[in-house]
Amino acid sequence: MGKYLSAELYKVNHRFYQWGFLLVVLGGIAFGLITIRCNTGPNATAAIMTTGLMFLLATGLYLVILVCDMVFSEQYKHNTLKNEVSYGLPRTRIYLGKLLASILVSIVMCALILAFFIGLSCLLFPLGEDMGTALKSLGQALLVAFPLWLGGLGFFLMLSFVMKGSTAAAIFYAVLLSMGGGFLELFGEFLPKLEPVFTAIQTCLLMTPFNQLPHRPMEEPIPYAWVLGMAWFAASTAVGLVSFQRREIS
Amino acid sequence: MAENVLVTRGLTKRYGGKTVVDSVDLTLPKGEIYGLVGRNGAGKTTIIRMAAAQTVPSAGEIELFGETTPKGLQAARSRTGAMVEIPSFYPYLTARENLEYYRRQRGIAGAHVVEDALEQVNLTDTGKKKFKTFSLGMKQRLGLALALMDRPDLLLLDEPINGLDPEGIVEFRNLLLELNRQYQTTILISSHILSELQSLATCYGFIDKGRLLEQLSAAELAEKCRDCLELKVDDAPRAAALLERELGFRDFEVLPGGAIRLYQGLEAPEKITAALMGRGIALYGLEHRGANLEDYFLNLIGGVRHG
Repeated sequence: MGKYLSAELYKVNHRFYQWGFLLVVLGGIAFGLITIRCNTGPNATAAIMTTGLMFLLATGLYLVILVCDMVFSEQYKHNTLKNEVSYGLPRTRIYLGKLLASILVSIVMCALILAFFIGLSCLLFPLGEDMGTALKSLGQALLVAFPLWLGGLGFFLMLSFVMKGSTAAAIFYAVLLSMGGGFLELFGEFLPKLEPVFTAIQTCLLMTPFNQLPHRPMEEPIPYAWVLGMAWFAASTAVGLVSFQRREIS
Repeated sequence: MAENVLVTRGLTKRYGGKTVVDSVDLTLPKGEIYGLVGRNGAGKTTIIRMAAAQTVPSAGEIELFGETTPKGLQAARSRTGAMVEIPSFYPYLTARENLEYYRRQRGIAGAHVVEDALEQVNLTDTGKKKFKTFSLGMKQRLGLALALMDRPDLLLLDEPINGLDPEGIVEFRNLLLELNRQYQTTILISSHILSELQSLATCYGFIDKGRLLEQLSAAELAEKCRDCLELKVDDAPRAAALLERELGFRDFEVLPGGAIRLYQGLEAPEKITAALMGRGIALYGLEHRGANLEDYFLNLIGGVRHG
């Protein structure tokens, strides 16, 4: 598995995609923080930083699409999987190798983005005594976000392996993430008798804990987020592994 | 007894209700170059894809280096090199980067392996050129480089000379012959260019409509493709009976369309002409010819053989 991971990281690091993506995200963060700084002045409280962080962490669920795409690299479009299975690489290793590589790339990206965000925030909005509170909020928000990111990553990688087109997989994932809750609420209104079922399903969506964060104490959704995120991760990986075993590679 | 590198038993592949490979029993002994001959859609690529684990057989068994279990087959496949259909690589990586990626992935020791493979296929001067800008011939060469990396014991090649220029074809042929001679590399190769296949293969398998019709060695094929007289007559069955009864010929074949291929009496065609005309059989043509792989294959899928 170590060799497989080394190859995947070699591939990702030899693309401009990864660095271009990182530059765009960092540019967006800088633009956002500087705009806030210009409009509010330097006396902003930790609340601004926390709000920004919430937005950033929720956006991470969508950025999963790009990170998985960097690693999976449209293998069906380029027909490159045949170069792996023909040489005796077990399909389980191929699947888990890409999953692990995606997780590693995500963690590195996340660390770089968060370090940039915190660094620039501290520079533009000196927090003084509020620094401790802000960092505590950051830690708690990360504890909520991390398992949900993993769940999203496992789910999107499964879609990438199961669906032939990466664009279709990305659209399906983004629609489910952004509109899944809204659809379920709508169904609940049209079919009131089934509303409890739709509400129960809604609690299983990856975005739900994020939506709850602004309305509850930060630490409250942590266990819920871990159970939910790990369930999505495990179920998606199991489905992806099974379906990939008999997949035709052309 | 010869050691077999690849054996298939009752190998079958169905897509929906259509059987594209039908109970194929193929045997590839060690050190041979096996030419798989068949028309488009005959099932050649599917057989190679099953051997290369790109598609799962619907029925039957594959034995590779004596291994038949899934785990054993996986290990055995690390001793093979495969090039199936058009070679595919990451378009945004260079030739070197693509090979380096697969070298790391397969755990092949030594970075020089990549340079060696590129040198073998004359692709050392591609520099920073990305795969997406390669010509078809360059893509074929890179595909071959990947197959040759880590010097495999078995090469599975499907239409490998498509896109190569004449010089490239000669180099490719010499390279395969050299690998076979020097390292005893066993090769399974399919190609539409039968004359090219004839200059490489040491044994053949003829496949039509998913069924393996015949396997034979190059020596057996040469024997069967020897010089003959081809007669065109108005009544081939009667002419065949006459050749057998009156001239004592037994080694001939009746082809579709009133043709007879005669392997005896080549030195005295006038005797044959006289015998046929004497019995009122119209002779439209008489030609001295030697069959080649193409004739043999076409005859096999369409003709009836006697003698």
